[in-house]
Amino acid sequence: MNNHIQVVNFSLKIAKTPILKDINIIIPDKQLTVLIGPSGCGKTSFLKSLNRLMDLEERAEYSGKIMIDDENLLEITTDLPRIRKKMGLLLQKPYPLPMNIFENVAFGPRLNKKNKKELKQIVEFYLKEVSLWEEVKDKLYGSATELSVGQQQRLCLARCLAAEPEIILCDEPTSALDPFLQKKLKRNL
Amino acid sequence: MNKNQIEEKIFIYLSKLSAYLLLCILIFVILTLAIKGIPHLTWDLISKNPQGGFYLGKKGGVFNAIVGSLYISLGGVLLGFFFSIATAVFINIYLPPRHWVSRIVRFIVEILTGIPALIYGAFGLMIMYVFKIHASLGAGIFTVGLLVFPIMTRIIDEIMRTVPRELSESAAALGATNFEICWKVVLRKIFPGLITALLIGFGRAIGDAASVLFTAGFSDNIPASLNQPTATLPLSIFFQLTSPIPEVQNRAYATAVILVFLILSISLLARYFSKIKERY
Repeated sequence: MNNHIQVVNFSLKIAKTPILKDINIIIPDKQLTVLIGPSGCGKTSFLKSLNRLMDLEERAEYSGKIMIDDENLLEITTDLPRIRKKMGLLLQKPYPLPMNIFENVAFGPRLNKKNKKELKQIVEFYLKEVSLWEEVKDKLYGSATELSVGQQQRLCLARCLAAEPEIILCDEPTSALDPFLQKKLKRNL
Repeated sequence: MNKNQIEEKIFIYLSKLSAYLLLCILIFVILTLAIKGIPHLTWDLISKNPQGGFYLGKKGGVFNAIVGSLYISLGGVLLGFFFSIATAVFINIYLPPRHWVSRIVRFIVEILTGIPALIYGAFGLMIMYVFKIHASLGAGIFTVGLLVFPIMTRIIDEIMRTVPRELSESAAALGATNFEICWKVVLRKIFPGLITALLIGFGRAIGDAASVLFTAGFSDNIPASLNQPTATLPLSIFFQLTSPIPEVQNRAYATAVILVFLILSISLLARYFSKIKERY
C-alpha cells in the first residue's frame, strides 16, 4: 500500500484567523479515507486545501506540507489547474454548470482536449456509470438544472469522474439526498 | 381597532398613495406628450433632416437627431460595456471575496454613478481641449461611454455577486483556469443580466442631453465619420422648445414622443430579457 497523500504539520489561516492547525495525516492510495468531526471543525476547509480551492478565499495562508507524488502542493504557485485536474470534488449540494447535461459531463474532458468522438463516448460511459444514462439519454441537450436534486448529484459525480481524477474529494455529497439515493450514490462511488 | 391595526392601516395607505403618485406622474407625462406631441407627429418629422430655418418654423424633420442619438448611444454603450465587464470580472473572479481593492473599486463606482451627467460633459470637454479634438460624434461616444460605464459596472457587479461561489469552485475543481471559469461558467450564467445591463445603459445614454451638450456638437446632417458633429434627440428637443415660435415648440413635443417611444421600447425590451429565465 503506497502513501498517496502525506500531510505534514499543515496549518491554514484565513484573514489571519487560524482555521486548521498542525494537521498530520497519511492518506493511502486506492483506499477510502473518511474524515469525521463535528460541524465547523474544518473538514471542508481541509478538503478544499488539498486541491488549493482555499486560494479562492480572501487571504488564505498555508504552512506545512501537502505531498502528492513527491510534490509539495503548497509550493505550486502558477499551475493550480494541473493540480485540481488530479482531484475531483463533490460538494454537499450539487451545482450543475450553466450548460446542458452533455456539456456538464464533457466539461472536464474538454479541458483535457478530448475530441468530439471521444467526448460522446466519455459522456455516455460516465452517465451509465452513475446510473443516469437511461433517465437523461433523450434530453442530453436539455438544461441540467431541470433535473431533480438526486439526478443533479449523480450528474455532478459523472462530471467529476469524467475528468478522470486520481483522487476524489467528497464533502458530504449524500447529505441532501434521501436514503435510497444515498445508497445509490455510495454504490456509484 | 387597536394601535397595531391603526399603524398597519396608515402604512398601507401611505404605500398605496406613493405607488399611485408614481403612476400618476407617468400618466401625466405621457398624456401631456401625447396631447401636445402626437397631433404634430408627421412622417416628415421622423424621416427628414432639418432644412434651412427648421428651428425658425421652416420644413424638415429630426431624422439626423434620431440617427445621431442611436449612433452615440450604441457607440457609448458598447465602449462602456467592454470596460464594465472587464471591471466586474476583475473584482468578482480575479480577486478573492471582500478584497480591499474590490471594496475601493465598488466605492468609486458608487461615486461615479452619482455624478451628474453635466460633469461628465465638462470632463469630456476638458479632454477635448487637451487632445485638441472638436465637438464630434467620437467625442460624444467617449463621453456617453464614461457616463454609462459606472452604471453598467454596478449592474453587472451586482448580478455577478449572485452567482453561487460553489459554481466557480466546481469549475475550478475540474481544472478550469480563471479565464475559463469566467467565460464558460459565470458569463454564461449571468447572460440575461448582461443584456439587461446593456439595455439600461442604452436607455440612459439615449435620453441624456447634458453629457453631449458640449461634446457632440450639433449638425443638421447625419455624421459620415467620427470627426463630424452630430445632433441628438434631447438637444433637438431643447433647441425647439426654446424657440419663440409656437409651431416649433409643438414639434418639440412630437420629437419628445419619438424619444419616449424609443426609451419605452428599450425599457420593455430590458424587462423582457430580465424576465427570461437563465437558460441552464
